[in-house]
Amino acid sequence: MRIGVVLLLCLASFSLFANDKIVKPSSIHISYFHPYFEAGKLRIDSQVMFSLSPEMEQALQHQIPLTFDIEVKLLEQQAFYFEREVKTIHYQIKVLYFNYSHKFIISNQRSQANQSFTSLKDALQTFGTIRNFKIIDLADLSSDKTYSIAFRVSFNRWKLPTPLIIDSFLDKSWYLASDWRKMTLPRLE
Amino acid sequence: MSKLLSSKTANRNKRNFLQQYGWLISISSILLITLIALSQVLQSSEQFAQFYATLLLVSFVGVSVLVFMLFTTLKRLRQNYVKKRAGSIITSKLTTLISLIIVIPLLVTYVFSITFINKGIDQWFDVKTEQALVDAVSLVKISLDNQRRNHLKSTEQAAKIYYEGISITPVLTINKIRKQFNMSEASLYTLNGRLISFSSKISNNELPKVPKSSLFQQIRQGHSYAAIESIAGATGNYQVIRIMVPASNSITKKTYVLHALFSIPDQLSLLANSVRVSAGQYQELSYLKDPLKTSFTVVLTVLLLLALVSAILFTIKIIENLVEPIRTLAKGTRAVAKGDYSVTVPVINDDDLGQLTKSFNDMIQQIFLARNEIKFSHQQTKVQQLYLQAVIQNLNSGVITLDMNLRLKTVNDAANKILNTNLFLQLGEPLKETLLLENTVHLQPLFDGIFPLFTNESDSWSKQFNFDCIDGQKILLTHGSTLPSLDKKHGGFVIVIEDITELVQAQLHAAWSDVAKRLAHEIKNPLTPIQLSAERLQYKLASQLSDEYQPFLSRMTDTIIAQVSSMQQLVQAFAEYADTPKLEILPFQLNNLIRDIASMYLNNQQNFQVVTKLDEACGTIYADASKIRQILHNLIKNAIEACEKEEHTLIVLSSQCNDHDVRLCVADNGPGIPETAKNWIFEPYATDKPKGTGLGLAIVKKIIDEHRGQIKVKSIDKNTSPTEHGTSFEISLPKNSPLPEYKSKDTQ
Repeated sequence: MRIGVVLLLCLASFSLFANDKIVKPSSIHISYFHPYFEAGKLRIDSQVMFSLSPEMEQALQHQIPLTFDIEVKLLEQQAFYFEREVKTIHYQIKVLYFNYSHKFIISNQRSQANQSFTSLKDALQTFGTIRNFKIIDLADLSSDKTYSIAFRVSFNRWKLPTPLIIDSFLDKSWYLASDWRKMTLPRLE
Repeated sequence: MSKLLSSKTANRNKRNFLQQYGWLISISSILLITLIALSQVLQSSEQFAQFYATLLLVSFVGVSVLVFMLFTTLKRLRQNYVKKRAGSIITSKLTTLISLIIVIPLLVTYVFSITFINKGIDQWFDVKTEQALVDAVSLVKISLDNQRRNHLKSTEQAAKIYYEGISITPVLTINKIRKQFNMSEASLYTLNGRLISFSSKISNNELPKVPKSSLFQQIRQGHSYAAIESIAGATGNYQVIRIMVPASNSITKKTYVLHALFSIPDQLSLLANSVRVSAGQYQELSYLKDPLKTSFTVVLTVLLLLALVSAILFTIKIIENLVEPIRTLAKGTRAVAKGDYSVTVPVINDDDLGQLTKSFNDMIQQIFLARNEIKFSHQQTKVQQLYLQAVIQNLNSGVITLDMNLRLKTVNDAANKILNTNLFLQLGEPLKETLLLENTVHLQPLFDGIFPLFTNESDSWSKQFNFDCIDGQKILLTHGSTLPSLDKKHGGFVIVIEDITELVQAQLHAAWSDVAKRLAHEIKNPLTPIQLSAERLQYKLASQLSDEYQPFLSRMTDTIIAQVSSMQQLVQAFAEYADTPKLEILPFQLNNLIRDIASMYLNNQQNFQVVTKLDEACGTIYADASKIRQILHNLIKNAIEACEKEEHTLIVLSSQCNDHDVRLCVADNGPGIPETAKNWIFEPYATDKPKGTGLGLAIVKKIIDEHRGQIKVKSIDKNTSPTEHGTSFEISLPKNSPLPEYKSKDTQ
């Protein structure tokens, strides 16, 4: 078992030192996140900024679909700083490119909706804009509890084509995830 | 029964096999299946794609476990090697050798496979294929673009030709246009997107789907629209060419939108789709070229590790199992070397080594039994030897054994006593060298007589020897025999020596005693009548004879009386010799007795002188004083008679005492006794003197023997030493009474 740990550490260190050449690091940044109550529902607005590495863009140009995970967690404050997950929303969005038609497609795996774009920037802009996203009915929440909501967007390497998975773990360019953006909700009245 | 046993053995073997190889086989099998699945996934198989992460994890964990097992096994091997445990060296050597045999071809195969895969993948994505696909895509695009342009032209032409009819009879005109220009669907809209008329190849009552408002906007701006679009159908998406052109009526000044859908031929559509999909897949695969290489390299590396580590582990396990019987045998031999013959080496397998182990156990069992038998025999031999030694040591006969090289092997106390030496110090030495020593040189004549007897063919012999030693001459009866040997003719010699001196002397004494008794009985009785008759003749005839014959008669009768008297003395001496009265052992002062006797010989007129030289330490001794007196008288008389011809005879009576013995010595300075005479001087009637009975020394010897004492004669012949000649009789008597009856009497 110790050998396995050493092997994984070796792989990790190799991946760290092997990618010093990268000039433009990829990143996902949540620039705006706003939960609010409207018409008896908890909703969020958010704006996520994507910056894909050249390796990811190149993969996309070669019709490799990129899958992103969107995770939203509604947490209820418990005693001793413990938190209970009241609701978790997790869905995936795929970004595809069709070389034949030179179009970028965003495919929402939750709503099964597809949208095509002529540029990657437009596609990512649209993908990163979340408006009026329903989380939960307020009736399901308790007024005497404190709630917080956490939001994160990350790139899912396991959804890459299988030959690319090992490379993605060895290459820092494929490490792409935002931090958890967490906000405490105001008490319900 | 044998079937049952063999079944049990088979089950046990199966259990052992599973215990030893189960884990390794399981892990290797799981890893192998995982790798097969991984390779399938890498070859775009969707079957295990969702388990790719799990498969990767299982692979790494499996390899890690195998490497860990290899590490611990090698560590254990090294420890065994360092501790020099049995079988560790052969295990290490065989493991190294077989590992090398395994590693080299595996590495060659690995390198070859990696090279082959890399080159193979590169060849899949060669430039020609890529260019062909690009060209095919271009061809499809051009073909479809031509179709699109043609259909745009025909639609624009239709709008020009039928611009009047459109506004007057739009339904008929649209239907006519659709049929004339082979449209699959034709419709007429206002610029705002309101449907005016519609015609379709498929006759259903459904209204057509209105195009996007942006397209109407484009028409309103005076631009036509022509594009290939995918439309969802009942059986899936299909491609159509959508044309939208403005149709203006110069009379009414109204503008409409003529909308037409042209279906693309199925074959062209299929081919275009195929080219598109293939080009897309090729794009994807060409990008995955390097990752594919990496993945295959990883899989092959894991496979190499699996094969390598599993093979080495299996090899080590097999070698250890093979060496296990050798190890147990080595343990067994070590135990045997330490003297533990009760050890039984377990038989692990019924193979060649198992047979060897069985043979080893049988051999140890046999050795154990044989060793016990030898031990028992050795103990028996030891007991026999001790018994024999005890018997030999307690024998009155001397026993000497020699090996075949005439080295002294065994000597008992009696032999040393009889031969008057100590041969114990010479055990193991050659007898011939021993006989040259100072204290054993007197044995030389005896063994000179004995050695030739061993060379004779006969195995045993007996012979009597006269043996001269410091104690005097002894008569030895010797018996010789060869000792048996397993591998040679004989293993040595044994000599039994009996001192028969006393026996011979006793026989002589008995004979002489018998003679003396007969003489006393047959001669003594007639002597008195003879003497009385002679005296009567003298008395009766003397007065009747003339004076001339009276002296003659007187002389004759005196002669008869003198001779009879002499004969009476002789008979008396024989009677004394033969008589064995009981000794009167009483305490007396020896020195007083010696002085008393010496005083009796004080006479200045004689030519001899008797002097005493006494040890004042001699106090009271226990002996028969009258017999001791007789001894001294006889020896003094013997000395006087021996020194008759000497001018100044000196007779010395001396005594010397210690805690146990009394030594008396009667020495003279006479002519000495010839060496040959020493052998018989103590025998009765053995005298060379003209006078005397010849019984004096015999009686002395007899009395000393009765007192359990010893007498030795030392003499220096006058012919040998004219100045230091003389004879001395040394008598040794026990200080206390040697006879138990007197001892008890004394103590009482």
